[in-house]
Amino acid sequence: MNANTFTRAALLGAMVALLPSCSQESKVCSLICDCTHCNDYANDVLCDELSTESDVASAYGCDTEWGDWLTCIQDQGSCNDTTATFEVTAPGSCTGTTSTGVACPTGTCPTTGWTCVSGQCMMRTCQGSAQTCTMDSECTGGVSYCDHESQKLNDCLDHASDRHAPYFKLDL
Amino acid sequence: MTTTRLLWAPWIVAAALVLPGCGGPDLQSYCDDRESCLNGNSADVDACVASFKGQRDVASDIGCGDEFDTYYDCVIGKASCRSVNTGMACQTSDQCLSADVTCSGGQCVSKTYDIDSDQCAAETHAWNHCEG
Repeated sequence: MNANTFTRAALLGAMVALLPSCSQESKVCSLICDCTHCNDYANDVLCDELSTESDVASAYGCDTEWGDWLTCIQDQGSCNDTTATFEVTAPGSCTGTTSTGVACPTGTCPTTGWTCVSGQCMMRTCQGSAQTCTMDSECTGGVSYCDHESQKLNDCLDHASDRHAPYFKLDL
Repeated sequence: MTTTRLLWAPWIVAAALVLPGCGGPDLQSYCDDRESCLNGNSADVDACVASFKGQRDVASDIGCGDEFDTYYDCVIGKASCRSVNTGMACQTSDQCLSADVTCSGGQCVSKTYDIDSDQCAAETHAWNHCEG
């Protein structure tokens, strides 16, 4: 092996060390940026922010929970091409019900859209909220697919910190 | 330049770029003092350092790395631990409604690790202006 080969090997090693790693954070960053059409500048900021959150989670010993949350985001997140937004929430669903407080002893309710259940007029609500609705499209943002992972990560951070993990800024 | 020097050159450049802690504000010292004031534990100190290093990276991304360094160089030399009376009377810390606020002398007291509003004014202005 001559000196030139050594030099090339050294340069290659240096380049590999400097290349951005194909980490989970960079994959999620790409997923979001591809969807939201980030420019290079916004891409760098988002990737660095995710990387920082990862380091903070690691400082609290929550690497596993952080990894599980990122995996969930990767697996469950989807791009809404119409609005160019990356979503991790189920579509809104008008499948909840709540009592109107109006009795319906005859089996009929006075208002269109109400249904009589066990002698009580019920109205439809968005799943997981008190907002009344008549169809799914009236319900914005359903339940997050990664709620379970978010909760476990939050619990881990809270447990490790004496101050409720103030440096973890991501809104889970 | 000899062949030996040529061999080392790429590694020296790479090491200079990769090695952490070269230049910039003394975030470790700042976080040690800050968390000592705010009753954080060692994990809070590590998280503090990670967080501020990340903020420095983001500042560099947006072309404000110098302003970040100048601002924190100033803050680190002047920040101090302060107690702020919230004005709420208490008998126990539970009555202060926040984990960061404790009951002291019958009053809820919040701690901050900060600078006076008139300190680092030029650095604050430059940092805010750069950040947009």
